[in-house]
Amino acid sequence: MSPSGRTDAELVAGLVAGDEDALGALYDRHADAIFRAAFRLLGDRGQAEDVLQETMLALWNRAETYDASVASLAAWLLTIARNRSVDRLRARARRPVSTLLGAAPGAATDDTAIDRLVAGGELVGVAAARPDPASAAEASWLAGAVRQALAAIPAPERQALELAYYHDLSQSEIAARLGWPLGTVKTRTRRALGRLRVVLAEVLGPDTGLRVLPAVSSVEAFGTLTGGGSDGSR
Amino acid sequence: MDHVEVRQWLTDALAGGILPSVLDDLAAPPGAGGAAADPAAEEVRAHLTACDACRAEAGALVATGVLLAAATPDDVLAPVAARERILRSIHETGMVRVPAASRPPVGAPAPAAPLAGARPTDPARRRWRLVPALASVAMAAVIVGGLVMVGNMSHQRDVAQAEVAALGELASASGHILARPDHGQVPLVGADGTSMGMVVFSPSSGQVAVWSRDLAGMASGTRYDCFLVRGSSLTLIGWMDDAGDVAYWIGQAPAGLTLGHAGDRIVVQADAPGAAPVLSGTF
Repeated sequence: MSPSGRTDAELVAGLVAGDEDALGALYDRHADAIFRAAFRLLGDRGQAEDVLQETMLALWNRAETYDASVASLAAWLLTIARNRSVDRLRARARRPVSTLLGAAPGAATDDTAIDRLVAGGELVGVAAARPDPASAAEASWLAGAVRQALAAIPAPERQALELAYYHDLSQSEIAARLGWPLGTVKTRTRRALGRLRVVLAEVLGPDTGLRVLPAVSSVEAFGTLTGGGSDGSR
Repeated sequence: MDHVEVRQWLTDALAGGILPSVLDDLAAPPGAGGAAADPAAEEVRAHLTACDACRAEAGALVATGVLLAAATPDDVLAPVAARERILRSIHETGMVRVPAASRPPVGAPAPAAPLAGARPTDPARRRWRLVPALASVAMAAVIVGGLVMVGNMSHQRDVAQAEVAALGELASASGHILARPDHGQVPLVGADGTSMGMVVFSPSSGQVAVWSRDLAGMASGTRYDCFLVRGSSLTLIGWMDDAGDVAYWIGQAPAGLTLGHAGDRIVVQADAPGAAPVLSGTF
């Protein structure tokens, strides 16, 4: 039977027996979900890819310890990925740049969930691996708020931002795909982020850190700050 | 760079989904890491160091990125190019797994034990290398970490990989035994009474594991045999092998011998004429 036709349990048994094809099949089956879970926590493609690699390495090295009667393989892998991601968030919070940003004027200092999220050190609510109900609800609400904010952005700007941020397209690739001048891609992407910040600051409140914009309090001002009020398409 | 340029640079990094890594690079000392390779990044670092307003702006961008990431849609996929790189990396640095056809599975019954005092002659008889489960995990981590450092020292890497493989098997086997509700432990002591190893076993499953870190001569290839002593009967149950600084064996108790019988002893001695026991433990 081809690896792709085998169950997770059969493929793990194959791993234990030294079957490298089984590892490839399990990668194809679970890599996207692992990457997404890590990216949701870390917000960084490179670091999410590192977590994916560490998770697959753990699967290879510790396949014997997986117990199908305790959890599905997907849940087991996502737990590993979540733990690796949280390790990175904690390390990030200890780095000098985090201290630097945390000490910046206007930065939030209270202990709301959003502030901890901004600080980058305690965010667990968006983890895919069974967070507690309160955190899960908060994460779900946050994700919904962001999606609503994105939906409120003009479509061309939203499209540019989503292609860049979520789908890893470079500005040149976006320009080629959508037939826009490169300058238009840059302007629309930056403007989308500016609008998003304004909307989210209104939705989430003043203590999120999103409104730390000393010279910027509106989308128009942000457009001026980042290269002019036009969208660069003319 | 002025304020506008710095903020555009950071905004582009956020839009590309790489802002955290970029900030990590900026946190590195000047002249070290990724920031040094990019003159623009070095300019941004210098600007942020001196500019409170732009640091605040960077913090706001970080917050925006955290929220954007939390809303990652379900159609986001792992980078296509990552597959080959990750699988190749695991092949190079992961533990060595021996194809099933060349070794028995964990928990498989051992071949019939020889008669008391006889030497096993079957070269295919299974031998497992053992250390305590927790210690094995820690050691494996150290060795895997070490693999990264040895670089092109392929011989050392091969040796380390072999040990990692053995330790991985050991972790699993020990875990199986220790998970049995009736498992037991017997300390092994040297001739002077010093603690030198351990036996873990399960009477119901017959699985037994023996290990020691203190057997002299293992590096030279000396073989150490494990015997179960009951009364005046001496039964060979297996032999230990060396792997780095740990000698271990795991297998199955001989048929008809229930482990854990009060007064039974485990003894370990070199496979040499007239050799005296170097380790012993009493159930």
